[in-house]
Amino acid sequence: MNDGSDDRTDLDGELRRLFADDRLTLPVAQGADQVVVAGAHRRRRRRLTVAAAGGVIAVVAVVTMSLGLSGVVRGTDRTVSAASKPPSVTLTTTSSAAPAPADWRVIGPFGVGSLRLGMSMSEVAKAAGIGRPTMTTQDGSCKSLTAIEYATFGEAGRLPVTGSTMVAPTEAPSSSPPVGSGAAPGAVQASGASAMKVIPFRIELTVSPNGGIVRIGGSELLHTPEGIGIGAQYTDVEKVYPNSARPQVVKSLVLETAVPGNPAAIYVFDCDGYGTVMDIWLEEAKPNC
Amino acid sequence: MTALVPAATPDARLRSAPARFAGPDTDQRAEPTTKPEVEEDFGDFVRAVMPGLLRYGHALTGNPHDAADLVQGVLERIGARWSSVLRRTGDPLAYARRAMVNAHISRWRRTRRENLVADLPDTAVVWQPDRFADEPLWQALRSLPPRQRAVIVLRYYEDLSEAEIAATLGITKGTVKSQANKAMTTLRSRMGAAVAERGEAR
Repeated sequence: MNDGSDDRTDLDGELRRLFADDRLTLPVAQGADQVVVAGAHRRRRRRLTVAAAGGVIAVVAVVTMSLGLSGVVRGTDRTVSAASKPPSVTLTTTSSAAPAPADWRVIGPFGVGSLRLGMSMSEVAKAAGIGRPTMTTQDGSCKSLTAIEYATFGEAGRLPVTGSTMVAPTEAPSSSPPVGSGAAPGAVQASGASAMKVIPFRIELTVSPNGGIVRIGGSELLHTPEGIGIGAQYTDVEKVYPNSARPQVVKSLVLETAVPGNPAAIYVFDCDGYGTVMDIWLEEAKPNC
Repeated sequence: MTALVPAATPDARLRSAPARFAGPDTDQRAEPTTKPEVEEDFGDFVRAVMPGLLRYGHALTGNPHDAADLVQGVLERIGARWSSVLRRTGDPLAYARRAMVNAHISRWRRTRRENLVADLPDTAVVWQPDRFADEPLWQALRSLPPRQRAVIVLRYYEDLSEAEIAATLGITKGTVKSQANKAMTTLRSRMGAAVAERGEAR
């Protein structure tokens, strides 16, 4: 009588055969290692530059957008070297009333910078000062855009910006660098510096089939309003977002918590094997994909 | 599009890193100290492990695009903290594989930025042909939720024990067992349906 053990053995054997199949092997593109090394270098440089600048704030002028698999528009990687002249990068001002200045390093409770969960691609393009990207989904699932890339200007003092313009400082820099952000402790120094550095970083979006943003994040410069940033520990997250705020802790190395002030969203903290936060995402709590 | 590089050796799994990167007790590697040394050391590591990690990523994610994206993202993060990773783990390859599993389980897939995998056009609007299109078990695997699939890959690709899978995923052995049972039940059911369909088609 077949008690099912033959089936189990067969399936076990089939799985092992499948995972030994040569078709799993993927050819490596020439230069792929250099792509990775360069990417790691950029991440390290961003992190160290922010730390060295003491958590300084001036943010964003250049916006480029590159689309991945489903689209064809491919932006350029703009890196403006430190220079005393004002940035010469392209600034595309919006013709309608400029949105309120935004800090592109803060994620939540509703979005990042001038990007918001639920925004349509037209609104994203307007906020970013670019043409509306064309995007199709193949199977009705959510699709991720490769990145909207922003250049960050580091300078003592705050230069709050919209997605596409720079605005003169209107207030003194304030808040201490967030937990785990890599920034040096202490207050931001007073303005006076003239040299500007650019730290390009990316914001990643995931878009639902109807075109609304369901997820924002992916930049190592982000921190929540409560102070949790990349490099924070799992235990820090649990302390800042205790059970009373209705967190949903996923029992792996991914933490999900409610977002204070936005019941329609959650934070997702991706941690590495040592409990260090590697990525922070703001997601719709109930996406439609 | 860049030229194809011949595929790695037949056993491209690369379960263990070259001795230089394997374990804290090896005396074959002096820890890099200067920045150029760190970058060169990391570059050597990437060249050594990428074929195996891409294959592993392919098993985890079910498609080459996501595999490339997963590998790139994890390796970049490791590279940005290379000295620290070496000091803390002593086994950066094991760390990379674990990071890949957890990144994969994270709810959404990462976006694809660069092509690490050759012969896939930059600007595809239609999906590439699936290498495993005629493989019912592969299709059934793709239908599993990420964590169940990860448990299956860790069990049958990595040959990890329940305890090791639990430690990798940060879950209990009980959860590993239940995830595995659910996955196997689903696979058996889908395979059964596939066999029945083939039978009807004859």
